[in-house]
Parts: sequence; C-alpha cells; structure tokens
Amino acid sequence: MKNRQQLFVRRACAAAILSAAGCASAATYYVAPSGSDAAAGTLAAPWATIAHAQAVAAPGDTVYFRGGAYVFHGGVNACASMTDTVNAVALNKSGQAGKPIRYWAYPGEKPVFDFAQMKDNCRVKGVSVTGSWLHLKGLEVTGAPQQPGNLLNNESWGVWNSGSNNTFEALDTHHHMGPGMFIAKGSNNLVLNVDSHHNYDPYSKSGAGQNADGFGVHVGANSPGNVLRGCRAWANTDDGYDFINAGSAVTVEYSWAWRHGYYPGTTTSIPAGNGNGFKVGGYGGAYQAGAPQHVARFNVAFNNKAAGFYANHHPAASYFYNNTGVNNRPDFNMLGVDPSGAGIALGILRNNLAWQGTLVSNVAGADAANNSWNLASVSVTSADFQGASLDGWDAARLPDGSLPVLPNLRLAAGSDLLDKGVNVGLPYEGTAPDLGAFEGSARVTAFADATARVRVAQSGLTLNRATQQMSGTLSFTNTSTTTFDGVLMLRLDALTDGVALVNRTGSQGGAPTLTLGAARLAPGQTLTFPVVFANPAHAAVAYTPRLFAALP
Amino acid sequence: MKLFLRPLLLVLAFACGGAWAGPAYRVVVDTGAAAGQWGWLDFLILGQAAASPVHATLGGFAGIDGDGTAPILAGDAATTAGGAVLGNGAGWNEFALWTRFGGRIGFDVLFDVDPRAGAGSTLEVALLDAAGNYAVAPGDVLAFALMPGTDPVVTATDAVTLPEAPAPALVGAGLALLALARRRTAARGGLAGSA
Repeated sequence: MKNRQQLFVRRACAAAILSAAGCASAATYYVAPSGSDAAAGTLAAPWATIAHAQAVAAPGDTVYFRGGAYVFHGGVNACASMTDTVNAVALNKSGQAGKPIRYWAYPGEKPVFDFAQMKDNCRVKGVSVTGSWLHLKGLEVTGAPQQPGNLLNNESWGVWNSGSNNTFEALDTHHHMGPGMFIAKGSNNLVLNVDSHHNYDPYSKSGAGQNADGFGVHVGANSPGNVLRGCRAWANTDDGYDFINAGSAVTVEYSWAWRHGYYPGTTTSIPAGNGNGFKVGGYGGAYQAGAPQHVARFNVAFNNKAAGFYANHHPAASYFYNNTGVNNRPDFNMLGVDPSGAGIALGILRNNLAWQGTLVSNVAGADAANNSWNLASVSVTSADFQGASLDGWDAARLPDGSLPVLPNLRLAAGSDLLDKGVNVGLPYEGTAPDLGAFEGSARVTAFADATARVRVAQSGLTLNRATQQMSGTLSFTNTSTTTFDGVLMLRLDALTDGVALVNRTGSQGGAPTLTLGAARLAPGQTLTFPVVFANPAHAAVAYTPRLFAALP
Repeated sequence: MKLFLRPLLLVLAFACGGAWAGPAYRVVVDTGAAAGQWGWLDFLILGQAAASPVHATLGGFAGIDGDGTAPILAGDAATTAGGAVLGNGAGWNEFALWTRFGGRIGFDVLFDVDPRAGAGSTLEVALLDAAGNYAVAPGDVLAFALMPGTDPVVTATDAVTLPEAPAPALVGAGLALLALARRRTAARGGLAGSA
C-alpha cells in the first residue's frame, strides 16, 4: 500500500527534493525596522540592526532587509573633534572569494537607511565599507549630513568604500551633503545599476556644492578593475561622475548623467559646483607621469552646466567610445595637460555623438575619428532619433535594476548616423558601429505604468496534470477616467524563483511580460490576461502584477 | 467529457452563520467511466502567496471502495474524523483517497473563505490513476473557483451531480469540522504560508 503513495508522490516531489538537495549551506538572516537584535534573525523573528547582522554573518551568508525606514541618530563612533569622521554603518567584516556576504533588500521591498537625523558635529560616512567581498543590493541610502555652523570640513558621504571586490548594486543614494557613492580605495569593485542624485554639500569649506558628486572614484595606483555600469547621476551640485586623482584606470559604461552644477531640482547655477556630466581624470591641473587611461563608453550626458564629457587636464589620453552628449557646454571637452603643464587636447574618441549646446572644445589635436562632429557625411537633427526628449530619464528602473528602456536619443531607422562608426572591438550591429550610446535602430516603445489606475483580480490556479503547468487569469479593471488604447503589457515582477511564465511574449528587466498589441481598456472595463506557469518545485506562486500602457 | 459551467445560484449556496463560512455542497461523482480501475479521488488547491486564506472541509464520504491504503496528505492539509480539511497555505495542498472506481462517490464540501482582498484559490477534484495521471478523460471532474467577496464558480463534467443542499445534519457536521480546522490552523500558526 505504501508503494502506491510513493509512486503517486514521486513525480510531484522529485523536483522539490532535488532543489532542496542542491541548496547551499550558507545561512540566510533577516533584519526589519520592527525587529529585535535579541530575536533569532529569521523571517518571522528578524533582527533590528545591520550591525548585529554583520556580527553574526559569515562569508557566503545573506542578510535580507525588510522594507521600511532604518533611522540613524548617531554614529557608531563619536566625533573626537569637529574635523573627525564618524560612521553610521561600518561594514568591516569581509566575505571571501566566491562567498561574499550579501546585504540585500528583501525581494520587492525597499529598506531605507536614513542618516538625516544625525547630529554628530563632524563629517559623516553613512555606509562605510572597509571590508571586501561584500555585496550590497537594493538599499536606499539617504541624508548623510553636514552640520550647519561647522565649516571646517568638506563633504560627508553617502556610501564610502575602501574595500576590494565589492559589488554595489541597485542602490538609490541621494540627498546627502556630499557624494552619493564614493570609491576612495580598493580594486575590482563593481558599481552596478546605482542611482545617485540630489546630493548637495551646503557647508563645505571649499564652497557650497563643490564636493557633491554623484559618483566619485579616486583610488590610488595599483587599484585596477573598478567599474561603474548602468548607473545614473542627476541633480548633483558638483559632477555626475568624477575620477579626479584616480591613479588607476576606471571604466564607466552604459551610464547617464544630467543636470549637474545646479541647485538640485532647479536650473539655478550653484557657483562652486563644477557641473560636468563625466569628469574623466585629472590631477587638479598638474601633470602626473604614468597617469592611467580611463574608459568611458556607451554613456549619455545632457543638460549639464559644464561639459558632458570632460578630460579635466588629464595627462593621458582616455578612451571615449560611443558616448552621446546633448546640450552641454560643451558636449565633449578634451582638455589635457602635457609634461610642461601646458594645456593640450588629449583623448581617444571614436563613434561619439554630439548634438545641441556647444558640441566640442579642445579636440583639435586629440585622437578623434568617426565622431558626429568630424564626419562630413552626417548631420545630427531630431529626426535621427526615435525620441529627442531630455525628460523622463529618471523613470523607474526595470525589475532587475537595469536602466529603463526609453526611445530617447536612440537612433531611428534611416538615420545617417547608423553604421558610421569604426570598429573598436566592441559589439555592434550592421556593417559598422553606429554613432552614440545606443546601437541599432530597433523600435523602442515607451510605456507608462498604469498599475495605480487599475484594480487587479488574480484568480486561483488550476493544474494540468498532463503538462504539470498551472493556469489562471489576471484581470485588470480600469478605475481611472482614462482610456488605455493601444499596446498593453502585463509584467510579473519578483516572480517566485523556479517559477516561469510559460505563455510570456517577452521579458523586461528579467521579468516576464505578456503583451497585447491592440487592446482597449475604457473606464470601468475589465481586461483579462491568461497566465500559465511552470512550477516544478510546487512553490507557492508569488509575483507583483503590473500593467503598462504604451505611450503614443 | 464536456465541461459546462453551473452558475452558483443553480447549485446550492447557503450561509452557515460564521464570519468566513462560505457555501456548502453535496457532490456525487459517477466514476463509471473508469470502472475496474483503482485510483485516487484527489482534492487539490494550488497556493499563491497573495491568496486570501481558504479552507475546504471535506466530509460525508460515501462510495469509497478502498483497500486500506492510507490517504495522501500534502501541504496545508489535515485529516479529520470524517474526512479532511484542505487549506491554501502552501504551494501544493492535497488530499487524496484510494478507491476502486466504478460506482458513485459522494462527499460534502464546506468552504471557509476569508472575504478580505486577495488572490483567489481553486479547489480541484480529479480522478487519478496510481501514478497521479488522469484516470479518465483529461482534466478535473470538478472545480470550485473561489474569489474573496464573490460567489464561487463551479465547473463540472457530466459525471458530476450536485443534487441538493446538504441536510441540516450535514451542515452541522461541516460546521463542526470547520471549527476543528480553525483550531488546527491556529495551532500550526507559524508554518502557514511556507511552501
């Protein structure tokens, strides 16, 4: 008799058993604003502080932070003087190669580390990372302060790093009185899909606003491998990305910068704020032998007070490939310095696109070819782009943290900027690389999130035992006064690991999508999507349904 | 077997007095199409993380021709004196009885549905062979689609009849099972929702 049951459950459980057997032995812990460090650190009984989590966590472990505010009122150390520095969070325990310690947001939630209430009367590092092999993901970090009346210092810092082999992923670091993300030392750090914005240092001794970059990388010599990828910087009072005094090569790619050098949220210039999108190197105007060649590629800079891409008196020719600059002053400025201290043009520029504003300065004498400004056969107009808007670049990121997909500044079919670049060893479509940051002219549809304007009904699931697939429906009833007419897209965010949407028509940021090409959803009407899942582990299916409407 | 929908009002739905108590049904399944086979009368609820809590109290079984094989329980399921209580607290919640097919099998279902907003759940009833495949034509013989705050939608094959409202005694039995289910749910507290 027992055999019948075993036979019956064998197929049902095989995948789950295999899955369980494959689990690593690393521990998983949980922290929540309402938790207690005397608790067990489980999902049901989370801890309260990251400090306690670090004390317990070992290499390979993961610490999840539940959503909500983690408000800090003081540093872990005290100000010894008004020029001292305190840390609010001090991550000084390292992981190991292949076994990082992970400090991650709980899936689908947003933990906010808020330092704005701190009154420590000296410089503040909101999150100070001196350990290595750490992975921070999905955290919001805000409010690292300076104190009014203390003008003895320059900036405070949102996230400050001196470790190596760390990954900073999908962080939102903002409204600090200093840089949002600062790499002071270390090698092989990856800053991935991080947003840094609205940072402003009003109480810096060097001048209000002069030190609040979005991202600063200022490592010394022999510190290779630091990469910024998929990042956004905007509305910071100084520069978007600043590599001044970096003694080792830094790579910034697939990243955006706009509206720097102004009081955050305004177009009012702040006098001390430099206002460059990408400041790629330099040593304060001085020549330095052996300076590294930085790499800036596939980036976009627009509407910055100063240069979009700036060599900043760097003594070596950095690589500028496939960048787009629009309406900066200028879009590309390749001012370098020679051993005598004289200004020269230095840079290796290929396949870049400059449009509006002042296009270039200090490029005569630089190694520049196949850029929009030095190709007689091309002209740049708004017709070259699927969309020319410089608004909306701060749109929500995709579920995996990658940049939103916008038509803005992507080349349109028929543009004379297509295939006008030169092969620099990077992937491209067509007969030659295109000019600018976005390769190809594949049509991109801009979507607006309509989820807040619909009511969602999620049916139960039923099993097809022949296919082992689970089916149900998702219905959206339009609760707004707007008719959604055209392409509608369902996206399932944070779908349970191991569960797949079988009838997906695409994906966006790692989340499966189901698109209806010609839909109409009038006020009060209901639209139903069928959903079919493969769920071999028989997990409880979880996801966040979102509905998007294509913009005309 | 041709599927057809039976509007709730043509079936039997009645309030049982409890804050969550939903409708109750007396179900009869004709298993003649699988006559001679042994297999499982299977009850399944697939769990979703966003689902409102649901419990189905199963009892009043008649026509089960077993050989002593123990029932199958998986996930959020527990036996009772006269049947079982099946919830939606895990990913896969199942109760199955071993029987020889051929006759008419009857049972009662009493639903306990949290009316608060959340995703729905569906109780599926199927005739399965020993390996868990459909014993007759592909698909469930009966399904109750439950959405919080709305009436269940019943989908059934021609093999199923839902003849009449349960007798008061059955209602009483169902309420007793419901009370037991609540006590069991409360006792298991922290495990609810784990897959």
